[in-house]
Parts: sequence; C-alpha cells; structure tokens
Amino acid sequence: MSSRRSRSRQSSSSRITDDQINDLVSKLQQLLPEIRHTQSDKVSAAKVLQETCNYIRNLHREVDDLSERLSELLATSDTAQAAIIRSLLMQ
Amino acid sequence: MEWGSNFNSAETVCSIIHFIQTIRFCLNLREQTAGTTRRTTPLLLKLHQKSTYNILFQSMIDEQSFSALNRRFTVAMTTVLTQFISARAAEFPQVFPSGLAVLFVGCHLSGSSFVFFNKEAKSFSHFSTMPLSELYRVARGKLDSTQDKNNMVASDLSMNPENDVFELVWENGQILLQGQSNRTRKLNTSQAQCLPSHSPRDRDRDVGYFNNAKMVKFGAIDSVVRDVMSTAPSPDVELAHDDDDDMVPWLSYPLDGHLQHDYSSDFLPELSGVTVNDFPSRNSIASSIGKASGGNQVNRERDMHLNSLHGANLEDGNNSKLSSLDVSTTRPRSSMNQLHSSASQQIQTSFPHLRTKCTGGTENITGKILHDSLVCHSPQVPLIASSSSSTAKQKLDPTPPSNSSNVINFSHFLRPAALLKSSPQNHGVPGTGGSRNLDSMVKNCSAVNNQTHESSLIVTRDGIRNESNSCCKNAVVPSIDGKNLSDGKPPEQSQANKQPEVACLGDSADHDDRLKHCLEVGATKGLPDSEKAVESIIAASVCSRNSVEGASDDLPPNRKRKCHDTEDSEWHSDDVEEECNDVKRVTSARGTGSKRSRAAEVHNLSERRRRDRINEKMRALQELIPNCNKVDKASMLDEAIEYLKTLQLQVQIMSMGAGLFMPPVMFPGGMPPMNAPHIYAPMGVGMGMGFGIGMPDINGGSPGFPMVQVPHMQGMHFPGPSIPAQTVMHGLPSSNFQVLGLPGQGLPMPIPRGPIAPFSGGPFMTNSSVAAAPVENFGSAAASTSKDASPNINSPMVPNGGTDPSITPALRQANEQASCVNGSGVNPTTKNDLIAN
Repeated sequence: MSSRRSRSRQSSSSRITDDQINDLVSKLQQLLPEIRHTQSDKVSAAKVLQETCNYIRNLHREVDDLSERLSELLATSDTAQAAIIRSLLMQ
Repeated sequence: MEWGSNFNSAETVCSIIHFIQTIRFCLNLREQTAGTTRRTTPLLLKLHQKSTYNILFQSMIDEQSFSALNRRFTVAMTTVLTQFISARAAEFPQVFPSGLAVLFVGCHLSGSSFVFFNKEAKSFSHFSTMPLSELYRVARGKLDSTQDKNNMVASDLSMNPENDVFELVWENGQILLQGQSNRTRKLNTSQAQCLPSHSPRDRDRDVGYFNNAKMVKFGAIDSVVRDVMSTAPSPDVELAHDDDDDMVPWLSYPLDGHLQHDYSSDFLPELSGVTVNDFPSRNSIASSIGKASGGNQVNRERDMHLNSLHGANLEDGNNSKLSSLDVSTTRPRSSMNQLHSSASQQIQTSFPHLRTKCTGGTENITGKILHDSLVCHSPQVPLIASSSSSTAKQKLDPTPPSNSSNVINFSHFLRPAALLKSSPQNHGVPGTGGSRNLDSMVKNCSAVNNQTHESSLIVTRDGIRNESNSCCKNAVVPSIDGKNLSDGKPPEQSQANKQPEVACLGDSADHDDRLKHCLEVGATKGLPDSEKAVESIIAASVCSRNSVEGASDDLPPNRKRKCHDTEDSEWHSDDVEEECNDVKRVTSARGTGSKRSRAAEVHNLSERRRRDRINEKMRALQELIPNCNKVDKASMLDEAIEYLKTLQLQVQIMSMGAGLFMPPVMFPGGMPPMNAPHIYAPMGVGMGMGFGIGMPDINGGSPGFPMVQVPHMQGMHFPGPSIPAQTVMHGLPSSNFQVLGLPGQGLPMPIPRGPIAPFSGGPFMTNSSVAAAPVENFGSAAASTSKDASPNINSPMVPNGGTDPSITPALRQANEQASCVNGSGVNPTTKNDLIAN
C-alpha cells in the first residue's frame, strides 16, 4: 500500500513537475541579470539554464577575485576592532 | 581604501558586520568545500595564505563539524558585538542606548542575523544577512507574543526551545547567555553551549527530505549510479569503435544513445537509480563472454552479446507489446526502423554466432539471449538470417549452410516459410553489402514480414492480452508472464529443435524463465511509464516506439524494483491493465493514417530534442552547484535558485567587505528635521524593498562606497515587518535606532545615528513608494539635500572605478548605475524600481 501511495504521488508529482519546473525556471530567470529584463515571457528553459550556468561561473569568478582582495584587506587591517576580532577568533 | 581605517562607531559596527559577513562567507565556502573539494578549496587556501586570521581559516578547514564552528563563530560574534557595544555605550550614549542588547545572533548558511533589543525603548531591531523570513520563522511567534511583556522579552524571544534560539544578552556590561530555562550563564559556559542557529533551515531541509523520502532514496542511489553510468556506456562506445566494419555497432549505437538519453531524461529518478542493476549485468555478461571466447573473437563476441542483450530487451518489450516493432516497420522512414533494424541486426549476428559458439563456455548466456531474441523475433529471424548469409556473412562466423538450414527450421514452425524465399528476391541486390544496404533490406524484410504475419501477430497479441489479463487477476505478473512465455513459444522451438543450438536453448530454460520473467515485468511496467513520459500515444508508430524504448529502458528499474520491494506485485496488475489498454490502442491506432503518426513523431522528436537540451543544461548546472545531488529537476532548480541567491549575496557581501562599498544604511526618521519628508521608515523591513541600498560616505576622506546595484532578489519579498523597528521609528522617535537595509534581503539594522557619527548616507534605492531616494549628508548639514550628497558620492567613485582594476563587472556596473543615479540628481529614480517591476 505504501508503494501504491508512493506511486500515485510519483505520478501526480510528475504531473506537477511541469508546472513546477516552469515556475522555477521563471524564478531562476528573474535572478539572472542577463535575461531578467526580457519581456518576452518565452525564454526557453534551456536558455535560462544556460544563462544560469554562465552566471554562476561569473559569480564564482567574482567571488574568487573578491576573496583575494578581501584577504588582502583583512591582512592589512590593523585596528582595534580587528584586534578584538582577531583575538576572539584566535581563542 | 584600507579596510577599517577611519573608524567611527557606526563604521565600526559596519566593519564588524563586514567581517562577520566575510567569515560567514568563509563558512559558506567551507561548507561547500566539505562536500566538493572543488574550486573553493584553493580559494580558501588563498585566503589562508594571505589572511591574518590564519587560525580561523585553518580551523575552518580542519574543523570536523561545520555546525560546531558555526556555533563558535556565532558566540564569538555576539561577544564581539556585545563587547563593542558595551565599550562604546558610555562613550556614545546616544548611539548605544543603555538598554541595547544583542539579543540574538543567528548564523545561518545563508547569512547571519542579529537582533538588537533596546530595553528602554522596548523595541527590537534587526540586522541580518539572512532572509528575514528565515529569521521570522525562528523568532516571530515569540516575538509578537512577547513584545508586550517588556522585561521578559529578551528571554522569551530568544528561548524558543524548538527553534533552538539562544540569546546572548548584554546587561550591565556583562554578557549573559540565557538558556532555555531562563537560567543565565556566564558567557564562558555559553561558548560551550553555543547557538545552533542554523537549525531552522536544517530542520526545514530535513522536513523536505522527509517529504521527498523517495526522492532522496533515489538520490542516494543516483550518486552511485552516476558513476556507473559514466563508466558503463564506455563498453558500448568502445564497441562501436572496435569493429567499424561491423554493422552491428553501427546499428546498435543509436539505440544505445536512445537508451542512455532516456535514462537521464524521462525516467530520471527511477531509471538512473536502476541503471546500476542494468549496466553491471550487461557488462558482466559481456565480460564473461569476452573471457570465455578467445582471440579476435572477443571483441565481436562482446559486441554481439551486448547487442543481443539490447535486442532481448527490445524484443521482450516488443513481444509483450504485441510486436509493435512490426507495426512500426511498415513505415520505412520512421526512426523506429533504426531500432528495428538494429534489433534484427542483433539477432542476425547472434544467431549465426550462436551456432558456432554453442559448444563454448558461453552457451548458457548466449543461449539465454538468443532464446529471448528468437522467441520474440522469430518471424524476422529467418529473413535476417538469410539476408545475412547473402550479405554480411563474411563478417560473421563462417557457417552459411547451417545458417540457412536454421532459417528453414525456424521459418518452418513460424509459418513465414514463404517469406524466407521472398525476402531475397525483395532485396534484389543482396551482395553489395554495406550497412545501408542491409538496413534497407531489413526494412523490406520486415515490411513483408509484417504483411504476411499480421494474422500471427494478432494471434500472439491476443495471447499476450490474455496473459496480461490473467496477470491482472492473479496480480502476480512476473511468474505468470514468464510461464506464459515459456509455455507459449519455447515449446515451438523445442519442436523444431533438431539442432544443437536449440538444445542449448532448451538447456538454459531455467535461466530463460527467470530472465524473461524479469524482462516481461519490465516490459509490462515500462509501457505506462513511457506513455506518461512521452504523452503521445495515439499514433501507432510513436506508441510502438515508445513502448519499445520504454520497455528496454524501464526494464532495469523494474527489475530492481522487483528485487527491492515485493509489494510491487500488488500494483503490477494495474500496470498490466494499463498495458492491455495500450495494447488495444495500439491495435486500433495501427490502421490510422501514417501522416498523423508521422507528425506526432516529428513532434515527439523535437520534444525529445528539447528535453535533451534542457537535461544537458540541467546537468551542467548541477555540476556547478556544490553538494547538489538532487535528482529531480524541481529540487535541482530549487537548489540552483538558492545557490544563485547565496552567490549573489556572497559577492555583494564580499564587495562590502573588500571596502568597495559599505553596507547600505537606511535612515529611518529619527531626527525630526530629516525624517519627516523622506519617510524612510516605510522602506524598512517588509516593504518589499528587497534591494534598498544606501551607503555611508565616510567623511574622513576614505574612499566612497559606490552604490552597488544589488541583485534583484525576487521572491525575497518578506512578509510584513513583525520586527518592531519600524514601529519604533514611528512610535518612539526617542529611540536611536536606525534601520540599515542590506540589499536584496531587506535587512534593517540598527545603526547608530546622530551627531557623533559623522557620516553621510548614500542614496537609497527602493522600489517602495519613496519616489526620490533621499541622500543625506549628516556631516555637512542636518537636513541636506540630495544634491549636496551627489558630489560626495561622485568624487570617490571616480577613483574607485579608475584605480581599482579588480572591481568586478557587477560592481562596475553598480558604479555606473550609481553615477547614473547621482547624475539624475535629486530624483534618482531607481533603476531598481524598474528591476523590481
């Protein structure tokens, strides 16, 4: 019976999935600066996903850059607060 | 551009928050690193090398448990803030009212959260880099109810056992941690106790997992599967390249492609999970065969067996689907022909091969496979065998005479004796060879075959329907199917079996039964699935193709499922019923126009291509997301969205931390002269501001912090501000709280404001009702206009953009936007507005 239940859920979820996925893809699209403004509501899911991949890669690059930068800054910062934090962190 | 230079109190808080965010980011990194030692590891190492906080980063790498570190960090940060506040409270009573306490620090994978409680004003304020909704979920219930109980608010709010909210209260310069039972402990002990602040989401996740228990199960399997899948296809591919002359791989390769494609697409969760069973077995068969046979036969043998196994799968589906293959082959141009030809090709190869090999050590396996293929494809076998003898036999084992006799035998008991004769004539040019030629031959053969054997097909169809019906009744599909199959056709063979190889087949009858059993189950169960997946069942050819593919594809899962849960047999009957229906549909649709079916097929193909592309992208995306072993697309996308938001926030935070811009400050109307017209308060929490952003321009000549375009976080619209910060602003002007909004998250934060903190606020961009984002320069004048602020902002920005090559594109873009905003002067109608809407 449990299998029956799971099966029905599966099938129903597979039906939902299409809507869900469309929904999610459009959500995803909203997060992408590249195609966020695209008014035409029909951006293919593949394109959205592609853009997402690109965007994530970009963000990764950015994070890399920034972390480098940040580490430099952190290393050079020499203030009371930094000292406090440092001491706390080094406990 | 030095971080932390020129601190004033407000900045200090900001700096600390920066730092916290930075650490949070690192924690994020660490978490990512824990799962996949990818990209993030070198990054951490980079940080490690350069940072003065080596120990922290070291510990982050070495720490076994992320949560432990998280807790430590949380406590530490609370301590820092509290200490800081206590240190500055006396100095700047206005900035830090005496009642101010750090109420709650929540560290979360997606951000930190601080709740400040002003005991005098009896108000809360909140700073958070994590979605407010998260925090609200943690604190809201208590917050609302406890807001009235003025003095007990802190303990009540924080001590929400089920939410695992702890609190650190700063009281009279002493840091106390209030536990669940409202006992107060010294901070020292609290360190051990920790703040399990990330629990809310984790719990949510758990719930999610719970809900998707099945999915997770598949997911777990899938991770294994993926490995298998990555290795499993190789034999096939290899196979395809091994014997280029051989038509077998040429034909079977597309089939493989189909199979694998389907594994990952339509039946993703189940299929991929199940592939484990399939591939190994296939491989094991192949390998065992390869071992058994020697010399240059190895390759071909393996090919053949792989192919014949494919064929077996196909044909079993075929069989149970009422030889849908034959139906489809009436349309020569349909892609089904590929399948069909490959299937028959497989038979062709395995057939003669068996003859020579049947005395070998592999006879059992081969016998099994051949048996199945013969049983299913018996009508075509003779034809193919004959054609193979005329065209491709040189590639096969040199047994043409026996081959033909074999053909006769089979054709004898399979009725299409005439077909055997007619097929060579049909082909006309049998000797020219070439895979194409053979292919067309096969097509012709099958066409003829189809015509001549329609009646027999129908007969078998009926038989199968009966079978499945009986299965429905008995609800024990597998065994009956197996029995029926073995009862139905093997006897026929045994009648005709005067030849050794058939004897071999008979010897392996037990294995056959078992195999068929599995195959049959797979076939029967596969049909509904494939139906659902492709959704076009009307056209006969499409349907038949689907069923064939579905059968072959679903075979493994079903086999596995069968192994796994015995309850399955319960609803086998359903499947069989469905199958019966489908079978009828196939029968009825077979006669309908081929135009329709072709169109449907074209549509089906394009649909498949589209899905192909999407799946491909989905996989790429999955690779980019750390720790993403989600199987189904929906949760994959969910994860992607979450990750994207996190990344955006990360970049933003890091930009802040890197001093490219300071955390946005929103100035709720605290001082009458300023606040009235500008109405900041409404931009506070929960106004859907989403990305209100401001920036303090430090007067000390430190670089300005350009406005940064904040990634528009849609769906981050936080519910109404239960956090009373706003209320406080309106109702209690005496409170010195200001709200600091963080972009994208709607993060209000209490920021000290006042004459002591000379810094200018940046322009605020909101999508709220505030038309003109006010810019205030506290340093110059209490009520300065935004025009005043413009130069303030612009001037530092130029060096920023010009001198800083490492400014990331996003920031540069943000800079541009900022200048754009500034350029527009008093009324920086926000681009964000547009973005928001």
